[in-house]
Amino acid sequence: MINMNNAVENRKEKTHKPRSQWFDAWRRFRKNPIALAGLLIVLILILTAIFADIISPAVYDPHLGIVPAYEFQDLGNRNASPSWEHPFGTDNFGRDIFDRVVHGSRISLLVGFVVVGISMVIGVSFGTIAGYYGGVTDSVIMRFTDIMLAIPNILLAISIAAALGAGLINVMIAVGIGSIPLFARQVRSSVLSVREQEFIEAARSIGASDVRIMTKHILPNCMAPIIVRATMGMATAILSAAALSFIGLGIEPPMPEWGSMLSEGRRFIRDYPQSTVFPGMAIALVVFGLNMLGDGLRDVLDPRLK
Amino acid sequence: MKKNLFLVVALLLTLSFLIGCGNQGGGTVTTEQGGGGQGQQEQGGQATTGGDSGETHLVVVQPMMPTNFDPVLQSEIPAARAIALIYQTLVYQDENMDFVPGLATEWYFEDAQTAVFTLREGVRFHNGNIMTADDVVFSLNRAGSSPHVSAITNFIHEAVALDDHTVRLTTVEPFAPMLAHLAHTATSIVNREEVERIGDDEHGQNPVGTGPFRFYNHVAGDRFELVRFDDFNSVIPGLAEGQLPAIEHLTFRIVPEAGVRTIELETGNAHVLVDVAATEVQRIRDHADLTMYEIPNFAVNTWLGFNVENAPFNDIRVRQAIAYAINIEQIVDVAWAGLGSIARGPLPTTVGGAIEFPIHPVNIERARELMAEAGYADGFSTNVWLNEGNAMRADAATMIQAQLRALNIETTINIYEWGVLLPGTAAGEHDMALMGWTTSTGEADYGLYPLFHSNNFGAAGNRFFYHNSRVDYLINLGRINTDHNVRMEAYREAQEIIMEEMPLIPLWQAVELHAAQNNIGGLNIDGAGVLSFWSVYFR
Amino acid sequence: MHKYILKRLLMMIPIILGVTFVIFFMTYITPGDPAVLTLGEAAPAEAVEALREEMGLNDPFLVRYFNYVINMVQGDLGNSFVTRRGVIDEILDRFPTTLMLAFYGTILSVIIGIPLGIISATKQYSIFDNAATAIGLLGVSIPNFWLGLMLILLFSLNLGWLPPSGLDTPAAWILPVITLGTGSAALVMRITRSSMLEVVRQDYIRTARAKGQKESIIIWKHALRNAMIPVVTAVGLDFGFLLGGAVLTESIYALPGIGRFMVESITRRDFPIIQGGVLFLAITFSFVNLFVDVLYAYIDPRIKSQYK
Repeated sequence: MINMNNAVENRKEKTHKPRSQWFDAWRRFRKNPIALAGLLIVLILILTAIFADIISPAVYDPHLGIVPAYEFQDLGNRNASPSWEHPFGTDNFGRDIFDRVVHGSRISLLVGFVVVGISMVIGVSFGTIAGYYGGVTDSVIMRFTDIMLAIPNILLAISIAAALGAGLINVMIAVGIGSIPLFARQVRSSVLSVREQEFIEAARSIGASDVRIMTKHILPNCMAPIIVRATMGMATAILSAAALSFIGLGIEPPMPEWGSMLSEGRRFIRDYPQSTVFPGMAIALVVFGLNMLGDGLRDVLDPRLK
Repeated sequence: MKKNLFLVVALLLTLSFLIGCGNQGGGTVTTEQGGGGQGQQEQGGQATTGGDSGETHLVVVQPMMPTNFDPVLQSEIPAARAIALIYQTLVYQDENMDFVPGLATEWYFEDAQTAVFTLREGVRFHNGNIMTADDVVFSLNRAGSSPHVSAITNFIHEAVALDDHTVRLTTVEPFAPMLAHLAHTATSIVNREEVERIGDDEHGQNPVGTGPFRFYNHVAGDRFELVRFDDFNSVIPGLAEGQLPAIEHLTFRIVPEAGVRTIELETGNAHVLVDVAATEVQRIRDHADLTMYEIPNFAVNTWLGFNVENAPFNDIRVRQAIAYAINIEQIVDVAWAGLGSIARGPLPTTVGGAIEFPIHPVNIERARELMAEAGYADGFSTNVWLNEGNAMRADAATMIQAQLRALNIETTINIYEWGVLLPGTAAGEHDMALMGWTTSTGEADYGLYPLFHSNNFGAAGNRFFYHNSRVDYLINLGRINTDHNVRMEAYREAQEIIMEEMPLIPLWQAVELHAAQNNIGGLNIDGAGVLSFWSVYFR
Repeated sequence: MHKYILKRLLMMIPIILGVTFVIFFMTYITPGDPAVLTLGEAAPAEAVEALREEMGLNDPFLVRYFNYVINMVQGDLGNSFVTRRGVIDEILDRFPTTLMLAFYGTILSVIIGIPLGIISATKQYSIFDNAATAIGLLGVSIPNFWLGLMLILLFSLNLGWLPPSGLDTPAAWILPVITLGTGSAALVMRITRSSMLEVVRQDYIRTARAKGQKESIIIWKHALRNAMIPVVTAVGLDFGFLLGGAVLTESIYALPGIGRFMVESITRRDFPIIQGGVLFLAITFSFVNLFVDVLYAYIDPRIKSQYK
């Protein structure tokens, strides 16, 4: 005799799509407090960046017209401590630090996305090609990544930034180039393990082209580590960009990039620490959130921990 | 098997640890110099310039390490300060800007291009050799042909020894500022035998001079040390003849971070701090045990310069408009924390012949009128270049950027490292540049010729690409004509024309900022930024 | 095994050559003339030309590169443009400082990271675990230049316990090592934790438990040994990484190490130092990698058999 409850449930289940591994992953994810905390922080970052103009609107100055919030200088109120009016205080030019941190989130987000975008696209392409074709192609590509990995990361970024010049775009390129080898390696080893499986053979035997096999069959099965790496990569990108700005190779004033805010505020650290404390906390928090998210994703997507 | 492995690993780690330890204290240690010069004091004189505390080891913290201790192989300020302790020049300039004897006791001018110097006799080098005309001739000719100090020394045509203690110096053209240039550390006297024996490069790391301190040791990137030259028998302003410095051992530690330098001073780890950052000044002023030294120097003038070959800055009305739009007083107050003073002309007021001009008034309406007249009522986009690592200039640029908005001018701030800034501005790639100039001779010529003469477009100093024939003529006159009044008049007119035509807007006149413990006495700082450690003592 | 090592050593050669080419190329395309830079703000044209000749900057790129490589294999890396001392001397003067800093930092990371990671793994999902993981992630997230400044402020100035810069006394090492080691400690902790977790799930652990072995013996005798394998390799790689990456720590604490020297040299366009320094670091890093890989192979019998 069929249990009526089960029958009802079974019918309900049957009308759903078969549960994918992603849905399983999401369920596990929900149970991991660290992952959730990370996701929350990242969401706050994204929302802050999107709504920065509303949170910290532009200001009208009779002399200068409309001035963005992060540029507005109030020279009568410099280096003020946190207050209701200025929750994070003001910097050496009387600019509201809260407004600058808020608008800085856009830059950080942009840096994170662009850097990861560049390195992911290039790195994954190279890694897939290397893993799939093997042989000489693999050797050559891997030697390139070895060369880049042999040079200490920060020095490579500094050299590239010095070669290209200062500025936001060049910083992103410099940091992005340094991240390519990691993606390439990761993807290559994933590809190596997937390549030998039967469904690839099957696809090949029905005449699918190499490109098709790589994009439609192999790559989707390697996505998990790529996603994890991308998340961690964003965190590293934001830190590296901040480090470059801190050294002075980064982003020009008056852009409120958090690393350059740290660099500018450094001289005041004893008397007016607000210029360094708040941007530093912002960096730490965002990077922390991204790392937690990445960690959670890894726990959840790693098949071995099932 | 595993046990062996762990043993190997442990061995390797210990090995590398020991190697690290062994090398750490070392660095480059120079063996003590000279056989004869050492040992017991002879006529060196007593070491009393005050000093009752008995303490003779002075520790100094400063931001940068001299890269080279040879007078003609570099042109940086940290090196110049050290060179002033190790070597000597033919003449010195005292507080009244008069020239007093150094290694030369007398001099006279044979004609407009020739000077003859009588040298002090029996002066000892650190390696025991006695200084003769041969060394002076060698040093001056060497200085004249070195690219590094060329801007200071290219007036030298030839030096010739007339006898063991007389030297004749001829210049390429009549050169009125000659003596000022001969007081500059670039023309310090070196020992020919030593330089020829060990070579230029080695001499840069193991210098030998006649100065009151001799080189002892340096640890790459971290510190260098000088010790008192006990056989010092020359003359130097600030030290009575026959006396030796009270300080026997000078340690210069390199600490790049400004706040940390102050902390070293506050904790008593250091006695003297060279180059106090603007943000630290008030703290030191307020500190009960520390003294601030704020000395106007004739070195650095900071300005906002225009590349007058680039439109729209070739139009004088645009330049004047900008001058009316920026608030110089406010900039100096905020960016330079009110330190130093507002620049009052193309030359720092401490330089002989400098004219003090009124501070340019702020007048936004007038500025807008001028812009409209020039056809730029809607403004334009431009850029300002400056060097990285100077937070105050960066602040000034930020303020200027904000102030220029009132004229609809969008300014991009380009902060470049020197490696890009210098060649880039030399090639005229900039619109505006926020830079400074070091008139290190204290002489009007060196403050005007490189910057404003049309001979010197680009890397030689004229980054405004300014060309005015009358100004060229006046500057040349000042160089050639030795009559003081003629020179002063020429310089006066030149400065007036320059301020009218405004290839630059002078912003800030620097001040030497150093600090020391209260119990440090006898520290004098001259306009070139040289600290007189030979006259320093512990109270 | 020996064949493997030999093969790796041979492969290092083209990689190192590749590194020199990349760096040489980058210095070539970097804007900024070292001659003008060295001469400063007053650089008359003839002086610039003379200096350029002296620095060998006027020859074409490939000629310069070729000369450089030929000199390099003979052991001559040239002289610094700035101090004119030999490149090798300048590097060797500073490398021991960085070596010791990285060494102590790694030791700190091991002392803190491994125990925390073990406890975290054995008490998985407990408050301790979550807290430790969170702290671990925080450790790698804090910008270490910021941490350095905060530490100086607190310990040197406010408390007066530790010297803020230089290396005169043993105490002077404390703050820099903490600043540098924090990130590594967090990394080691996380790797120890995940490695332990993986090992603890293995069948042979379950067997031991089923046989009634004491938990502490299981952890210490069986699980730990095998869990340490990936940890050792991670620590080794991290050490190599720290050698080149201590730039910011060295700058803030005024330590005369090679990282800070490299940044200064890049700023000053001191090409011989840049080329020699990166070469040196790349070789060192490659050797550390090789050492770690060989070590890994020795310790892990599964891998070792692959190389037999």
